[in-house]
Amino acid sequence: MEKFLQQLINGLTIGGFYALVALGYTMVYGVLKLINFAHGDMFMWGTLVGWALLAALVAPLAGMDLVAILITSVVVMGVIGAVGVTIERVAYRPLRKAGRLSPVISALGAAFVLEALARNATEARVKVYPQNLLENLPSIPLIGGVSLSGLQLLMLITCVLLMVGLYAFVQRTRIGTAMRAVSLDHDVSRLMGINVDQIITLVFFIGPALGGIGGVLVGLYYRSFDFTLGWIFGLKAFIAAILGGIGNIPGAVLGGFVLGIVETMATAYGGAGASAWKDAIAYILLIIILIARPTGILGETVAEKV
Amino acid sequence: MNVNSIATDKRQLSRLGYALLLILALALPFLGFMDRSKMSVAVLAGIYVILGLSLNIIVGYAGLFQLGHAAFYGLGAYTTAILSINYGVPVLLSIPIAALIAGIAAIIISKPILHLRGDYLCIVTIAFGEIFRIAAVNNIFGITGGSNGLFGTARPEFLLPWIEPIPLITLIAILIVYAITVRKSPLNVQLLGGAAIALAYYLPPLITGQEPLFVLSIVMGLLGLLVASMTHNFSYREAGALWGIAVVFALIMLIGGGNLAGAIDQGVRDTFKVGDPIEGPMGMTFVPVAFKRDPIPYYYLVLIFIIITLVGMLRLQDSRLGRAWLYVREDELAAEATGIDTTRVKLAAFAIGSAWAGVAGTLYASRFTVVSPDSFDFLQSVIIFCIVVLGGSGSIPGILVGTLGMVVLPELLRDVAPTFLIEGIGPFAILALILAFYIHSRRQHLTKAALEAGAIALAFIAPTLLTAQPSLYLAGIVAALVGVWIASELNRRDINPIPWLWGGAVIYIALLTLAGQGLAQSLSDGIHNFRITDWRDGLMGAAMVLMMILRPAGLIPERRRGIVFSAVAEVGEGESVSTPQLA
Amino acid sequence: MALLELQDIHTYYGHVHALKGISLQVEEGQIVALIGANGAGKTTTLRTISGLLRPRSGSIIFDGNPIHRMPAHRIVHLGLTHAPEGRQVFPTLTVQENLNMGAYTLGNDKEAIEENRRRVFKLFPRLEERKNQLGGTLSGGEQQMLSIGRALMSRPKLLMLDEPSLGLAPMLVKAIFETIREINRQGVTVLLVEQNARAALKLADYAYVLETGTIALEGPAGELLRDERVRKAYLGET
Ligand SMILES: Nc1ncnc2c1ncn2[C@@H]1O[C@H](COP(=O)(O)OP(=O)(O)OP(=O)(O)O)[C@@H](O)[C@H]1O
Ligand SMILES: [Mg+2]
Repeated sequence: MEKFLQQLINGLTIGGFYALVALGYTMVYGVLKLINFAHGDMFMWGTLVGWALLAALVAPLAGMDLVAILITSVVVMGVIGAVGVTIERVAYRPLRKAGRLSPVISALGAAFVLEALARNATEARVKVYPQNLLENLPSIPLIGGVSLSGLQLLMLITCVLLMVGLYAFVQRTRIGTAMRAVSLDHDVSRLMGINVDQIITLVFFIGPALGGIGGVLVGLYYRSFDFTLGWIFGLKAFIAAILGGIGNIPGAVLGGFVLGIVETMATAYGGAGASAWKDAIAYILLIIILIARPTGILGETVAEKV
Repeated sequence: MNVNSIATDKRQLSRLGYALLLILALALPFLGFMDRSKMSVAVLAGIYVILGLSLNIIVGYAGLFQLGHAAFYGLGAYTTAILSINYGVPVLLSIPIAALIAGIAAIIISKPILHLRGDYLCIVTIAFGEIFRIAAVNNIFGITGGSNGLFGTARPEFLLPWIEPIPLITLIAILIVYAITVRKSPLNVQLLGGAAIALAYYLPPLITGQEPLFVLSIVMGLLGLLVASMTHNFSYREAGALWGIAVVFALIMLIGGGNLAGAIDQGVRDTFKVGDPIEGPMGMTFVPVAFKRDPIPYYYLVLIFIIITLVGMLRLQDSRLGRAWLYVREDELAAEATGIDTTRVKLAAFAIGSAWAGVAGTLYASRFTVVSPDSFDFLQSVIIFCIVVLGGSGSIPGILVGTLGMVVLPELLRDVAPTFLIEGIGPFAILALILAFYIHSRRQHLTKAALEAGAIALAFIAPTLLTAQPSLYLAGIVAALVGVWIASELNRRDINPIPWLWGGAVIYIALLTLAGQGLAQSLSDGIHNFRITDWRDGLMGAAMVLMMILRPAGLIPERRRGIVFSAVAEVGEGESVSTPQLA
Repeated sequence: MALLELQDIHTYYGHVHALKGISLQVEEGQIVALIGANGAGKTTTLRTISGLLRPRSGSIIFDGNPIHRMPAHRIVHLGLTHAPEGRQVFPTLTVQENLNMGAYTLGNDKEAIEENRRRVFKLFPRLEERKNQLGGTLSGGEQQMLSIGRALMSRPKLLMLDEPSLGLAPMLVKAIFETIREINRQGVTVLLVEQNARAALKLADYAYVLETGTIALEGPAGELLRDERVRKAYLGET
């Protein structure tokens, strides 16, 4: 039971990261019906930029870890958001009318470029986040010997706040509603006077910005990373988005948590071989869910025009 | 409508193209610049051509996403390796088994997911590819050898029966294919051409009196067949051409005599490591053939498989199944309405394509003798996918070009010193490519396009001219790309780009002059320290993006056959017209 | 000067020459009808005017502004809206949100939006009853109301309607046409595309007859209603 609870907490934390990254996939898919294969690598660039900034900030801001992390997060959001907007301009916008195969190739190409840049920036080595950050945050004892570390709590709160904020933005504001309109029909949205390109640009800012924050959190949580992080983590986050029903914001969040928890539990209880197969769990889960429910857990069951 | 006749005309042209290509391919190992390492690249490229063709059934014909093709390729390779290492099954005999296993796996795997929407299918195929890789790394069932893979797959070794009637049987086979090919022509023309082929076939042994010359005979017979099949309308002209060939050949034989023929025959035997004839059971004679590390026999083996694949593919394209794929790809709902069982049709594409990838896997295992999970990872799937799409999905020439771009070029770049690339012909080749694309895209306004291209070329050459640093051609390429981008943006907005481009080029040159040598020197140093292997994937990625932007439908897009509703509407920024690309 | 003026407009779908030189005018304050058989190019004309398609040649002047090269969303800002064929409400947005999207060009001007919403609800009281329902769950007639109401939310000078009566019961058609007249009375110029030629001609001040991408006939609606050719071809009389 104790172990179970502890694993549940770990799973929730990891699920939060997946969810954060899944949001970017789901939003882009919503407005463009495009799998943004570069998203995972943008997330990894979030980890990378975060690492560089934190390394520079820990000394001057010694003792003020939270401030350093806050500054880092804000800058990372801006930088990765800008990267996202650039990629959309360069690699996706010229292909809006080009059928479905070409954007996939272009997206994969963009991902390769980002990954190669990171490989060279890190000299293909594992990079370690600054040690001892936030280590004096109190941990919160729960029932039994189970405890929630301060870091985990902070991360969960951050994830949940960002997700609720995004949801409120999309549901309540004029621009958010326009985003939903654009994801339903570009032409009719234009007839409303919505500048569809602008909305898409915004989506390509918000999605990667959230992914970038996710990258910083993952860096802080696992303490180290290398340039291959983006592909695997990104793929799993995309799977999370599909699990929940792609194009659907609550779905992405749900899918992220489901994946995080299932993965953690399966690794913890799956016996000796399980950790070797850890990365396959997401894929197997994906296949099972899609066979059972082809549109994902929260996906609309009505046939969609695609 | 006259669509059909146009299509056949074009087909004839491409038939000639294929014939020339085949001759080039046959002669490739003997061309001066081909060394052993280049031949190895050629073998690898051949395997990728087969992979591209097999994926093309799934992506190009049936319009389905498949980003996990490497798994089936790997399945075939592992099957062959395991059968060879553990059970001593000769590799070539394992081909049907590898194909069967890959095909059955594809059926089992794809059946439950085929009804998924395109993008879901895409991600599920990626997932399968990853599961395969992880399974191989984890030494599943204890048979895959874990992350190191399996070593020691045997190379092809077989006995060729060497019996008297063989030349005759071969000739009869050639004549039968010939008869089928020209069956629409008048009988006397058929007979005339057939006689020429038979004559050319028997000339070497007739003139030299040497029995084993039938290898050369087969080549001559096949050449005749090729000429006969190049046209739809086999007439006196073509039959005459066959006679011409036979006569020229006879003259060569008479003048060169047995020496020449013998030399050619010996060459063929050496290449294929044909041993001395040995006595077999039932009084038959066999010659042993054993492949070694030498790539050339593999090259021909792969070439044979490419030809088989191509012929099969063209047949498939015109079959009922091929037409069903086309319908499903263009409009699945309509196809369903006309009574096509779309699920079965799609399943067939997956099964055939994957089975054929398994065959490619066997060839891989027999060539490299080592199979490991890394050779079948996602990157491989992407490369195969790109081979199909970059060239133009559905188009066979496109696959050849795609392989050149995705496999041959990177392999050749490995050997080439980066300075050569950066300072030599490389940048100019890239510039020529960029300009060619640009001018092509503006072909309605050729003079204007040429003037625009001039400014772009100036911007390209300026950094090097000003600093005398050849490595700055690289900066030139960036400048040229920026130029192209500006030009197309301005054109899109109906602003004449010529003054802007030339003005921009002048300002750019002025800025460069101001920035001076220091910047140039540091840039140049940076370029010299550049290691291409670090950037291989990145360059490939950049090329992928660029290619798609310049030619979204691929380099050599497929000529659409049959039902075509290529409704590409006028620019209108909000263009809702669905262009039936992939269904 | 006319509120909207098309000069020799040519529009293509790939190689399909859909509009072959359309010239027409819409005077301020009028209802102008555009009628024609299926596939004549009526929808294409409206989509060209609203910027969803770009004409290959010709000019379109709206309220003194050339709009034939303007992106669609900017044209809306000038006061020209388009209720597209087949209604096309946003199915997963509520009625209220659909209307808000119609008022997108008003920005965050709450008062103006509120005022327009009241006006629309007055025209279509049904919408007010269902304002929290999803667009996709409305009946066909209600969706048509929503589509028209949405196009009115930005207080356009010119409203283009593409077959507002499509698939509606006769009673409802009458009601919708009444409403169009009422909208016009409130000062909105209307360009109306209709299959239902008789009703359209009765309602309109002026009309154009479109045949395979060209204007075959034009004139005051009353005259066309009496025209021999129109009666034969479009009003089903022998
Ligand atoms: N997306 C498209 N691609 C190719 N051709 C099209 C497209 N849309 C319309 N067309 C063609 O343009 C012509 C005009 O079509 P349009 O939709 O404007 O007709 P319409 O007058 O509105 O007809 P209806 O009364 O049936 O709505 C038709 O011949 C049609 O086939
Ligand atoms: Mg219409």
